[in-house]
Amino acid sequence: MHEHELFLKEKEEIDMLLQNDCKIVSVKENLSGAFVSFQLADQTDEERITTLHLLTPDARIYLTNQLSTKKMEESRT
Amino acid sequence: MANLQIDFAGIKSKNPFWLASGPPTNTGYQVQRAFEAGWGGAVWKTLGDPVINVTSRFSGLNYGGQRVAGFNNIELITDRPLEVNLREINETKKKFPDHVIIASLMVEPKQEKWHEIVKRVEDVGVDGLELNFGCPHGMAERGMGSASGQVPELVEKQTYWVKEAAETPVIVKLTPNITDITATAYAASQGGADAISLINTINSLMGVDLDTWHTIPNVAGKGTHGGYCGPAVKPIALSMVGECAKQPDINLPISGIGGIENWRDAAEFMLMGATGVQVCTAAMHHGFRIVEDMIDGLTNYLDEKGLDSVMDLVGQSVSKYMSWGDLDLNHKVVALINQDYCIHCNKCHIACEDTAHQCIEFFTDANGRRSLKVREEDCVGCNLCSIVCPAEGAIDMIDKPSDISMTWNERQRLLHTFGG
Amino acid sequence: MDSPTANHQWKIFDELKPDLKPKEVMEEANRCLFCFDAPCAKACPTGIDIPLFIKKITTGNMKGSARVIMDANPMGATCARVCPTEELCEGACVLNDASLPIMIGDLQRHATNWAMKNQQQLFEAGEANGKTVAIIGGGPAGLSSARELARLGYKVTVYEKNEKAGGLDTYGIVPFRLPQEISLWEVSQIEKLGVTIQTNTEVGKDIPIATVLNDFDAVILAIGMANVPPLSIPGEDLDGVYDAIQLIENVKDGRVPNHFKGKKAVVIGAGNTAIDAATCLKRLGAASVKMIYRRSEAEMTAYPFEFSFAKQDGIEFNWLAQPKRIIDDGQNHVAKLECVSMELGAMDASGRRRPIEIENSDFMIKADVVVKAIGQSRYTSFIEALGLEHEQGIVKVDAETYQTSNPKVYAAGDVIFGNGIGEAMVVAAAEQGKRAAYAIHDYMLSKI
Repeated sequence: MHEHELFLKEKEEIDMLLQNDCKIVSVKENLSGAFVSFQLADQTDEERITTLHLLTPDARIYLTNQLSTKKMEESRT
Repeated sequence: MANLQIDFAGIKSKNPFWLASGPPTNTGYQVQRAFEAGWGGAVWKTLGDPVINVTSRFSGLNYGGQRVAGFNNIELITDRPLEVNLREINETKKKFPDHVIIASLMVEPKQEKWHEIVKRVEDVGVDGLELNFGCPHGMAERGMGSASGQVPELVEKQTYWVKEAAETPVIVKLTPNITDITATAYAASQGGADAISLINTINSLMGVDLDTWHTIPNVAGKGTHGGYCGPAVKPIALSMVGECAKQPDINLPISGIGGIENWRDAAEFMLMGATGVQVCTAAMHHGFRIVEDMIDGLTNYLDEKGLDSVMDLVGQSVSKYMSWGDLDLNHKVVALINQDYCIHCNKCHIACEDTAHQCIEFFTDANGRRSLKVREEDCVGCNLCSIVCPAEGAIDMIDKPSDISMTWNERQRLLHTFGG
Repeated sequence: MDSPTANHQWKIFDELKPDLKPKEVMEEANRCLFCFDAPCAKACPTGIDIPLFIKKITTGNMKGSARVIMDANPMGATCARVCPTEELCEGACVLNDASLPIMIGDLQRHATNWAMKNQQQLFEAGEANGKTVAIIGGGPAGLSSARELARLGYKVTVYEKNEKAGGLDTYGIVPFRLPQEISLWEVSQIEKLGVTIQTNTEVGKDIPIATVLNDFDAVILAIGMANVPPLSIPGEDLDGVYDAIQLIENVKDGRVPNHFKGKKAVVIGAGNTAIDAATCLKRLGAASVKMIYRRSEAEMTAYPFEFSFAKQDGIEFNWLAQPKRIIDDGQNHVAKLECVSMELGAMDASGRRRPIEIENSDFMIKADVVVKAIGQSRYTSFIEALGLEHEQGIVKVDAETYQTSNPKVYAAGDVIFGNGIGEAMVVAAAEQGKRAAYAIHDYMLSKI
């Protein structure tokens, strides 16, 4: 698989979670990539956390762009 | 017509082109020839403690059939008596009062030695002093040159001693043979220097002769490390000039040295913060007459840019020379192959396929010709294909700016709020 | 009078083009882009890895460079001189579109000259495999297959009817383009692999055909073509009428005749051999040399560089002229050549426009010497004696394997050239020789 296709797959996963009103609760980066934990909508239960493992650099920057946009939106409201 | 005059730490020069201290400035005869050719100034070959030079002394790095891509020397400072040099400096200055003569000096790190030589050279009318803390060979074994230039405390102390005695501006010439050149640049400014000049030559061994197994160059079959200069060192010098220029607590005029051989190189150094430049290897390769095009080319360039004075160039690019962490991660660049200009050497393909991101592919065009195209989505915009492409205009790197910018530093701060 | 020791005369037959000077070599070699999947290499019939041999020149690896060339083309030194490079490698060079093509032929000449001067043996024989191959004809095709077979471990015997091997390279190309020692060096490279070259040995005369067919595991027929065919016009037997191939052969072998001095010479034909004969005559002192050809410049088979070379040499060209009769001077010697003007009609079988006589257009050309250079005839009777299928003396082969109608016999080179198959170039013969050798090897392996 070309790296771009892998990125598209990862982007789709990020988009899907964000569209479903999932909230990013933590981002941890290490040698293996970025581990992004999403809290599913209307759930506070620790069990309801989904973690995405992002491998591609494009997905990792895409994620932070989304975070930044969200942050700006939040600060406006 | 644009004005090429510069004011370098109070030294006025008719143009920014000076000969650097070295073989071209060994005698009054040579420096006078240089001034006749149009050089604005000359830094006299270093005066100082007595030496005897060996032979042979120089070697050239040839690349792809081109001579002198790099140059290396094991020659030391002047081996002529101080009185002779001073007399010739005096004569030359009298004949060419509008040209700048700087005395390059190197003595043992002792206060009285510095005081003595400063007085003697200022007495004959030099326009400034350059302290040679840079030469990496020979003198360093005796505690001078780069041996003192590599120790910030010694740079500061010796600069201070010189300033105690000097009436003319003091330029400290820095060695690149150090991990962080801004450390010694800062030391020079703390010692009271009026300016810095960089870079001196880089430690080097030019080669080994594959027939005799002697070093290149060699003296009776034995060699020693020398100082490397010439076009190949320009990027190293330019980065060091930029590092010093962007450091706010250094704040000294810079004389740029290292691989400068034409007006373009000079303009780049000035944009990166140099107020003037010094040239040595290019003059050794081609003679003093190269200064004609340096003057003419730089004047035309300034006129084209609508600038009145060469001083308007100084430092214009420094603010663009950032830390890596302040570069925009969202900015994209992709390669585009212009089929009209492509000559089908396939070098971009193999470079990308073997050593980059495997995104330049063959396809058959409408005329049945095998051609190449970039798979844009996998192109990381590294420039490699356009670097190896021999056909002017065949590969363009296209900017794909993003709406939002995010640098690594910004990203890390953002992630930090998410426990990253 | 033939005078092989006339050195002062011989000088005019020295190679015209000097080797590149050291600086020229480095500048030119460094100018090569080292293309990937390079078009020049694809355009070489023997597939020499041209960027690689040039890269090796830049690093001073001259032996490696010569090996790359000679590995792909056992006639690499000859081809550096006689190949129509502007139609092959240099014509394909990508720099044609950007500046000037690399002088590949000259660099190839330089690298192989180095190997010659430094007496390098570039290849070794393979471990003997016990199989034997006879090769009839020691020209480029035969020698090329001999070299490859020897490297594969075959015991090879080459039968060559001439005193020296090398075929047209040794005898048929003028020495100022291709000195004989170049071809002989290539022969010696092959002999040093243990190949037996029996010169002065004509199969069917000096050794029975049956012996060759029966005593070897395989046979390669590489006999090329024969002498110039007759013009079939009156006066052909007069004194002063020569065969171009024989004329060149004499000069090439160092026999420089001095009876052409001051003579008016006419060469009939416009192929590369005709041009070689014409430029030879000029060097032998002929006062004037005219070439006559029944078609026009456009149909001429000589390479453009040969044609321009002849023009520089002051050769005159009479296009659209057909010889009708050679007229004597009353003492059985050539005096005049009667010709008729031609015009071009419709395309013929060869794809060229057919020349047609124009009525009442006869004219005379004064001539002391007439040289026939209208192609070469075929060894048809010999081919029939071998029992091989052929078409007008052109041996039929399988396009892939070069196998003839006798499965044990393969054929390569000019003996299979014609009827639109292949090209009569040294480089093509060398490649066919290689392929025939590999086909034999594949066949032998398949029998194990």
